[in-house]
Amino acid sequence: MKLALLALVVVAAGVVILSGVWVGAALVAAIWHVERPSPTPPDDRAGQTAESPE
Amino acid sequence: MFVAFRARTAREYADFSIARRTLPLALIFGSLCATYVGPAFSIGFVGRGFHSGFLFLLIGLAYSLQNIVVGLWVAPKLRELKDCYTLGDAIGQKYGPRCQVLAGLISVLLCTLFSAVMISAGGVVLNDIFGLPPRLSVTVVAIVTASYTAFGGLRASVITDAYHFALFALLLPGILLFELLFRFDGGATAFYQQAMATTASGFQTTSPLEIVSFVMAFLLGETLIPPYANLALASKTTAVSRNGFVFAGLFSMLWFAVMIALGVVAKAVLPGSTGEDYVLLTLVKFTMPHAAYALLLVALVSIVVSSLDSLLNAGAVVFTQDIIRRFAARQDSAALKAGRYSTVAIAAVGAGMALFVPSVIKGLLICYSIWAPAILPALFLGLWIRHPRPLAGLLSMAVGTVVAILLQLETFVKTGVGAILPALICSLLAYALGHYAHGLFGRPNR
Repeated sequence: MKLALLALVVVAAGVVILSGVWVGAALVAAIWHVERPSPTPPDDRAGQTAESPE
Repeated sequence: MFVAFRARTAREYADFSIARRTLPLALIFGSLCATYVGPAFSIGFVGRGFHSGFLFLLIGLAYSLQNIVVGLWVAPKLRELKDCYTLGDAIGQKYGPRCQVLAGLISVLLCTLFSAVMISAGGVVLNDIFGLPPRLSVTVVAIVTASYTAFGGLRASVITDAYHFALFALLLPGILLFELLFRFDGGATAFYQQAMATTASGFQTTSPLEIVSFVMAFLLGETLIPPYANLALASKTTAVSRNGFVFAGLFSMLWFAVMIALGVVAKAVLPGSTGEDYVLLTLVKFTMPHAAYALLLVALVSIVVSSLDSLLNAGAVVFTQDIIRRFAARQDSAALKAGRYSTVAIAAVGAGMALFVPSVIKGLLICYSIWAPAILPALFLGLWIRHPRPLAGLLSMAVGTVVAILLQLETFVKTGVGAILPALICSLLAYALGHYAHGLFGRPNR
């Protein structure tokens, strides 16, 4: 019981840290997505896909 | 600020208000957690752990339960509604335009009050760090937060929230592990004994009525306040909306455990006379390297700012959508401009009121006491009843607001269990009265 309380607290701290890493990774992805310039407008891209399957 | 400006400027109203409903699970979860982890859930909980051990973990579980219930049953229902930008829109779709305007007015009032409390907390932190005069600290916090929120809208708010969340989710558990490994003598047995002794003392010094009033405040006070509702509506899918709230509820249990454990560890290191609000700062200042203390101060500012930007954006969107767009600014560009000006206006009013906030906890409790009875009965019953009646919604919101405000006044009878429960009962009774009165005397439903 004595060990269990400390173990639970340490596990909780570990999961909180992992949550921070998860959200941090999503943040980097979100900023990268915003920064990446779109090569062509969406409508043109759709047209290209229809015309050239590769 | 760097992260805020990397998030692009909102170019359309849908971008500003609900980020085009494109937000993924991790960002919804991070933003929800960053918004609710304010000064009360960090500094406050460490102080409570120091004085009453794990008692406040049990009380905090009411908050976790509330998030999970909202995630499972309410948030997906909100997200399913079409053309819905705010809670007011949801209420308007169920009860009609008058109720939407009233819900909008109540929401803007609450967002402004919450913002005032957060600006005040941010001002105190800046005052402590740099020694700035209170007026200047409050102004700096309001201007910095309003500037990126006004231009970037919800997306900028969510992106900065995610950054702030990542910062304090790494830092505070890191501090706990450092203290347990290097500063706390006696290992698991000493930790257990310290925790049990402090918790027993907490139960002795807190009356059952106080515990009930805290549980009510944690269970209902922040339920679906406008920033959370906006996140539910901005989620990519209903599943993201549901899971975001459920995960945030589960996370809050772990967060409370970590904060309380920090307080228990501090009890063995600091003198018993340390003030509740100074336990965390004092512990880190005297037991960790200077860099960690400096980082903690940055994290504390970010904790406040991440709550404030969500409140400013939610207040601005509610004011634009539920009030201004009822009468004017129906075009997208006009609504976007109105949203930006509203953000600045709410920040300005909040900064003015911040100088008169008695204390962070007191300010928050006042906001909680008004929000739950004013909005929740009408919202929840409206989502679940097949044909909600406008008079019921109108009466419930009006009576809930008035009774909650009256119960705040010093001259009014103090109930001992706070204002939420009695005001909530009055609001529910008013709803029932309005429902049956509308059925008896009203016109056929819309």
